[in-house]
Amino acid sequence: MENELMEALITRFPELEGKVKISAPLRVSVDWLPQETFLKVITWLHDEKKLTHGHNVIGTDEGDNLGFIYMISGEDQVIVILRTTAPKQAPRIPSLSGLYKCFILFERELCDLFGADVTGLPPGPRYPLPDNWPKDQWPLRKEWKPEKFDRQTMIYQGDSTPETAGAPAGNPASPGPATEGAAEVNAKTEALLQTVELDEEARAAAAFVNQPLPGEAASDNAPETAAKHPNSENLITVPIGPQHPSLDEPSTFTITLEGEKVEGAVIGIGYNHRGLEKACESRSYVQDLYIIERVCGICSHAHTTAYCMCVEQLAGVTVPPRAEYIRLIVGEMERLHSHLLWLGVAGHEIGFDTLFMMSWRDRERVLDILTVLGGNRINYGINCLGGVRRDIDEGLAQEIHKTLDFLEAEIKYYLKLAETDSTLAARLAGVGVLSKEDCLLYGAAGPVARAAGISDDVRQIEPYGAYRDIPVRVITDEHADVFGRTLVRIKEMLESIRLIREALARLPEGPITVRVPRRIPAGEAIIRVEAPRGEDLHYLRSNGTDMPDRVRVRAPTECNWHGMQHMLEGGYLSDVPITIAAIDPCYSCTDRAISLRGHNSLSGQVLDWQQLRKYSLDWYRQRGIDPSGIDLADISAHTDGKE
Amino acid sequence: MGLLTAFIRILIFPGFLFLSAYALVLQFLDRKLYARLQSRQGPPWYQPVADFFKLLGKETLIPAQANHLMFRMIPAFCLGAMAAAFIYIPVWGRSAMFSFEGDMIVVLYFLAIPPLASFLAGWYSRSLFATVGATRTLTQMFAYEVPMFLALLAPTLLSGSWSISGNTAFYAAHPLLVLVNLPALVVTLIVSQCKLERTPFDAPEAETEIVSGPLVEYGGRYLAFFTFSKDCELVVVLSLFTAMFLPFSTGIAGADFLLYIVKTLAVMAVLCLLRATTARLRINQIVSFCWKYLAPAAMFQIILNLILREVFSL
Repeated sequence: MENELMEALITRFPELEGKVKISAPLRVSVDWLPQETFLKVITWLHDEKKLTHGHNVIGTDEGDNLGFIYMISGEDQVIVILRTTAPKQAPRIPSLSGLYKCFILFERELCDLFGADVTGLPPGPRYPLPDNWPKDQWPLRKEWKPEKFDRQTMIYQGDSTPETAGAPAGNPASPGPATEGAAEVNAKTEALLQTVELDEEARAAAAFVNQPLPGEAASDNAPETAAKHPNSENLITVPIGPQHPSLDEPSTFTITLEGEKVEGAVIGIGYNHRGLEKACESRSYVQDLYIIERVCGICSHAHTTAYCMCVEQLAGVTVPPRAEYIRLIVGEMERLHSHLLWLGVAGHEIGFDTLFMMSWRDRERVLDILTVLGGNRINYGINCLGGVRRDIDEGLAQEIHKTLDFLEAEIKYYLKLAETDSTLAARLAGVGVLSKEDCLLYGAAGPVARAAGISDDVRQIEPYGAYRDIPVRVITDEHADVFGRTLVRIKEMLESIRLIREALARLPEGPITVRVPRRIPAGEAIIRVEAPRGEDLHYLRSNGTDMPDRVRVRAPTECNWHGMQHMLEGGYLSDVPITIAAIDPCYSCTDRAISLRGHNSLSGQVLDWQQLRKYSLDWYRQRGIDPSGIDLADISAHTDGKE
Repeated sequence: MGLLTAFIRILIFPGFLFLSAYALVLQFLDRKLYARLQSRQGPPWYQPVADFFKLLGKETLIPAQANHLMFRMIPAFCLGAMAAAFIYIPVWGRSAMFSFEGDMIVVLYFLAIPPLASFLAGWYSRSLFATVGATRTLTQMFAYEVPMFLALLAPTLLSGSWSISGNTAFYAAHPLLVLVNLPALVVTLIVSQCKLERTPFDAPEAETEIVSGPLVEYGGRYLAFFTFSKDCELVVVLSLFTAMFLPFSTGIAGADFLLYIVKTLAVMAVLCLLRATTARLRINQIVSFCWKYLAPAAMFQIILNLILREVFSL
């Protein structure tokens, strides 16, 4: 399949001769192309070859240029990797969100993290950096050093500030004039001015948030909608989030309602950006393992598996079979506890608290096993480079078997419950529908796609590790709604139990780890792994040192956000929480930093840390409570670590 | 009955003080049973009292845009209505503290006050979530009022009395006729759940959708009295249900009181079971359920009772 595609590419575009190679099974890699050729190639691949599934867009720093790596695939699951560049002085690239709707979030990331000028990108909220982040600071560029950036004042202490020097003139993300070659004092005043102007900017951003996305049918903003909607007086806008009982992590869904019907929805995410990818670039491969483990609280094993496989592929190391089996067992245990968690959350969202309590009770059994195995309930850290950290002995295997027997009975009961309970069916069926065509259009992944009848499971498409020996039966469903997603997840748990039993029965003898060199040879690896929420895609580029050059984590949830607006609109307010929950969103996975982000569409202003402290002290003073001994001038000294 | 005895009966037993104590006990039992059904431990017995007093000590915040007078008075209306309704329901013996021909209608109207209070509370708080919740409360009220009235009035067609005590007395004398009213019993049981806004009919205060609906802006002692009056509503609804549909009694006042406790606890257990085993319905589903199934069933009961009365002159 890869060969056919490669030949077709070279026949159609003779200039690609020698630039296309099969970098790994199911990967066709195309070398750096000029933008015009790149555009022709990707349009041809999309239109003629029907490579309509967009996986990821990765930004890289290539010295004087910015690199952009696009990953697309079609029916035959071969991922074509296309690359193009733009000079840092004018990093202008066209937006491909017209071809691939699912590229919108990835391209926003390019704007925020690399300062790319993506022309034609639909307006929308900033992602993933906070609203008060200076618009001329692009953290993933190599010259940007985190230690020079003061998070409280948002001032970058650069000596000659190459970032600001690189600000392109036409970039909408940098409205101010570039402070070219400014002296340190000048840079400071400039940055200070910037913080003063933040309110203005935040207001501009607020106006931005509520702009309807062009190409999306319905409108998002109450005043906006008021202009065209026939029933405009009856519209109200309800903010779900950033803090709301149905959300387990911060995010904002601005829902415009007519009565109980959802007329418009704007999704604001990015509250959990922690800068993990930047952190990975300044640490060794082994240290990065611990960061990657903490990308997500639930699918930590999936992320480390993908990361380890990237490193192992680059280092040319073969993992011992026993380690691969243990990875499978832990991976499937993770799927079990993740799906049980989801079932509970789903039950809670629709007011079925009994289901919530019961499934979380059962989830504890899985967590107990993982604790015995890894020493921790959630971040069990079982993976290490070249294998796994701990072995499964006979006693533990017996315990696992016992737990599986218990869980199998429980999960079969949940399946019966889901299939027969009338109130469950009433609340889940026909809600949050994302048809097969829409799934493909928005690039949905994991149980969302499988519930729409798409056999999208990486464990089957390109089996990795022990899945090569133990084939997976992919669970699909035709309902395409929340009910289908529930059935898919419950049935997948039964499949996981089967896989774990088989893996335990066939567990090969031998070592559990091999040595991996400290320095990894230069190269790049693209690995995908089936996380509980869907396809987890990792990109790793090494430069021959003991630290990676670029790490990109594309969590499954990031794919599923794109269809969310479509799923919410036209539904009822009552169905908003369960529709959001049904993609099993993992906000921290997607956002990968705790930052302050004001809810701009309501308050219209962003407060920095000092302003927040001042506000809180004033609030108490007004009530006659004297926060004695606290002087505003001292705050920065206190927070700088004197206390 | 002297004035003093009347006061004692209204304020202490079986009046307001008993109502309050029993409301807290029922809240505890409801929570405990609910927890055990979910394989949880549940709260200790004093939890409802502890919650109440803790809330009393909390700071009260009233939204700036809210109508302050209404905001403060609504919980009192709600509690007052429940205390007044309780007077006309038999607890000690076969007849209530006070009764007159037509007191059932009065009780039904008193029972309409808590949802109205909820609606006003939500409406006057001027919060988005509270407004949505208030609208839902009112919508739900329009859904269940008709089946509730029909189902509760059906037994009176046979007894020929529009007083709760009169009904109890009639059915105590003819216990077999209770079986005739079984459809109305089932309808009233479901409608009670709907009226009390418990799962699956808790759309007005759906926590995960609209935070907690009409009461979202309430806190401190106002919230304490609001939730307390909701607990009293539970007692009143259960008592009315037992008086109308399970009027079995011994004729000895003390034994009847014990029987009353057993009957209300049993009904509460059924309602709790219903709450533990269902998911929350959407408001449109609630409305169509009430009108498609409950109202016709209640209507059937009315026709059945009319036929029994006119044709068989029961």
